[in-house]
Amino acid sequence: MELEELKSVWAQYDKKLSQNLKLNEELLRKMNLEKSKKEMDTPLTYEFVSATGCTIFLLFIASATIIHSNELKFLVPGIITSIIIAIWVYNSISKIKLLTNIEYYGFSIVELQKSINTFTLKYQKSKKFELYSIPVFAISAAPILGISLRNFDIYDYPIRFIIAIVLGLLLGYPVTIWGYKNLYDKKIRNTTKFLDELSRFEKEE
Amino acid sequence: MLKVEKEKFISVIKDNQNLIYKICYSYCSNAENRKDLQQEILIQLWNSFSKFDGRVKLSTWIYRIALNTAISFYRNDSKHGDKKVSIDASIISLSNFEYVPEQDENITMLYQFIEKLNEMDKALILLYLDDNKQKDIAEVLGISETNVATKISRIKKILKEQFRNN
Repeated sequence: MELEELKSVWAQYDKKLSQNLKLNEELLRKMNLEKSKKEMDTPLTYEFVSATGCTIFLLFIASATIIHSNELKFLVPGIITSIIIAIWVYNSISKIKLLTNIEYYGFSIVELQKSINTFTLKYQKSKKFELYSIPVFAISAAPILGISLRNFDIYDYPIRFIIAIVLGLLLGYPVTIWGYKNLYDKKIRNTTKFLDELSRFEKEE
Repeated sequence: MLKVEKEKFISVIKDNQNLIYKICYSYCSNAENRKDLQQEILIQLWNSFSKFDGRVKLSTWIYRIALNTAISFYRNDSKHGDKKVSIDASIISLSNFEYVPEQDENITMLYQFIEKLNEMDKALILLYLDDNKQKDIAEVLGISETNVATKISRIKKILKEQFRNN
């Protein structure tokens, strides 16, 4: 059967649907559509909260590092912690930028799908970074947080600190790698593949 | 004000329920998922309803939102448990049980063929079967008219082959 013939079959089908489809108006009226509108803003709200929280934390760690900058044992972990948090802030701001640039109701299908999937890819990659940076973050933040919050010098207990580092690295990374492989690896591959498909769909003539 | 707006929205949905029904049927073979997709499309249409400024045709606007929602829904089928609004019944459904689309052999075969296409080709063939002009299809999808023509002729060939084999 030719596609043109199928078009007329489809038109007849459409006619039958017009005669038989029923819209449950009462149910549509009852649907809490306003609530769902608020829920749609969740990713943006999450990123705003995350960017603000991380910026405050970054300011705190940076000032604590400056205060204790005369001691190398606090300066180095302070700088490492600040760099990690700064990257988290940068990732959150990039995601906010991507999200606010999406015109959900003005873009064509290719444009919107590209924007959504670019954001998804950015989100998954930044999750990957967060996951990998957590063990290093925990180890580097401990001395600077200890001294600035409780005036507690973790280096006074070197054995405990070394045990914490070893545990952090030995347990933290295998768990992180396992988590990443199971949670994000496949998703990143799928999103990248779909973005490639979209580019081919757009260009192919 | 909201009540008036909602009544206007219901009337728009009533006029375009065939389109929503066909999109849901094409992107979800499972009845439960179809019901969820239908709700998701209605939510997205409602959220954008106040932003519709008439720059594009109403049908173009509905196609864009409904197809975009269907594509995203299709790609995230593992998240279907995370429903935004939970309603058990279908909002758009067949009222007359004398008409069962599944009994229409050509329609069943056509839906089976559509099911095998990728997300973007599904959108293209639906727009084509609904008798949209190449210019309108290009506008909804965001590709050139030449590209639309090329893709339609490619799909025609595959379809011809499939129907011959059946």
